Amino acid sequence: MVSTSTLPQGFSLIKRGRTELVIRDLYKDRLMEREIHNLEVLSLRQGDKAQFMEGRGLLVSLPMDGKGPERMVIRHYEHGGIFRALTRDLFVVGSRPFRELILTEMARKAGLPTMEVLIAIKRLVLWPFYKGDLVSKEIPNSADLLQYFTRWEKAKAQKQLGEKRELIRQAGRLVREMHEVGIYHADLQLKNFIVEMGEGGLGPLHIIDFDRSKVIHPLKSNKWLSNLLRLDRSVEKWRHSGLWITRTDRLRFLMSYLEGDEERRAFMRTYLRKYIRRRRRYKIGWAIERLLYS
Amino acid sequence: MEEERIYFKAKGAKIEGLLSLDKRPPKGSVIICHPHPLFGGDMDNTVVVAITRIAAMWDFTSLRFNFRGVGESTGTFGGGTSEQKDVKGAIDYLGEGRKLPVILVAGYSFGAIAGLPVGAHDERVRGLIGVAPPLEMFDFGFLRNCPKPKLFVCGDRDTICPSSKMEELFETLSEPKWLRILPGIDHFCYDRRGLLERVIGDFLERIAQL
Repeated sequence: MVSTSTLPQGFSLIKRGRTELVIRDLYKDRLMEREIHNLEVLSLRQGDKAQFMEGRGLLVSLPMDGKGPERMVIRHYEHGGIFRALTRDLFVVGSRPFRELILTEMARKAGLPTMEVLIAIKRLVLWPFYKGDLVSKEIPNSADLLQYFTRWEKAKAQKQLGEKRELIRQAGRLVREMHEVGIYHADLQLKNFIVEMGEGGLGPLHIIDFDRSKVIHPLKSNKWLSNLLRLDRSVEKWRHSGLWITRTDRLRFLMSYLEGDEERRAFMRTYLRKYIRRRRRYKIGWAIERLLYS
Repeated sequence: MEEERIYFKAKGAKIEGLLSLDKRPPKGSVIICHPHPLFGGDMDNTVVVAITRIAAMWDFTSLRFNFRGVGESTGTFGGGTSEQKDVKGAIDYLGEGRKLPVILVAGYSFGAIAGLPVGAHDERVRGLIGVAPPLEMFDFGFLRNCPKPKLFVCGDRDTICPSSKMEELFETLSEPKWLRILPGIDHFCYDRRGLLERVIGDFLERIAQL
């Protein structure tokens, strides 16, 4: 259960039966009017206005109020990993949606470009089991980095090459800033970077999904390194699906991340050997996962 | 980034400063005010230097200077009141002496006490940046009706500029305004280089587009 003392500024706690909602005051009336606490009914009512996307679990995109172009994305919490078929969407004790909301708000307040959370929802099923959802404002005309790097694979025009390189540098800087905030991202992977695709070129890069993430001050080297390795694994995992990322791009990312930080550079040099050993281990893990779920 | 040592006049003192130089025409200029002189604050303070560097990255000229009684600046410490004359002198120097466009005033800690009141009331100043304004020591209520773009940065472990108090003040200010609260940072440790770059850089970009 969330307490009102831990609520970020600008949010309210509302209870509806077995459901608890932490909702952004700015959108409270607009969303409560639409019975946002009952997401399944709300999604069904939308008919073909609802769009479905894939993430870990299903992501549903709905219009904010059926009038303007603004949309919201509903993420239903589901377990990941190789035991996900057993555990599905049931969680025990605590409140992952509320924790993610608090951390995301902290990141936003620090100036980190991320999504704007509208509501965190916790539905008690049977104590201590609960289900959770997080509703955030959709970033319009955007794609995640996995989509970006696979869709544009063959378009290797010089302009797009420059755009890609800048995007990778931006990603390096963004991860460094996230670590400066003290955030250890629990699932740093390509899908969790969102880039705005404007008509005149790419917009800013956002980092999303702080589920299970932690704030640690100061963020120690094993933590930031573990984050970088997780991201690297995600690149390695998707490489066979035609991901348009070269070894030089990875190096570009790393250089941008380490720019001007001699201490981290020195640390990185020491750990490069370890990296090679770890990569072999992860490859075995993915092979097992493919056998079980493909 | 190169800087030129300059001297300008303020009422009752001759002030020493460093003006950044760039080959490209600047998008604007920033005056940067340093922390408390009696606690070792001067224009070489790390945050002041960081803002100078960020301004250069966004093609803004910057002027950092020593308040009266610090370094080669003449005069004696004036508790924040006389230092406001130094800020005024800096604005005169950039606006009339150098004819530089878009003047912003940035102040870190005590620098905000001296810089922001002058910046808020001087028509030549287009925007204000307050890094850890010491809310426990000074009333920043004068900013409530200030229509200029304002950016505030503070740490959530800062006891001299408590983030809760900063949020309270921020709520009462008129738009346009931005507040960034940096986690894990106290009053003396604004060393998050990348974050400061983004936060202040975004603000400078907005100002340049106005």
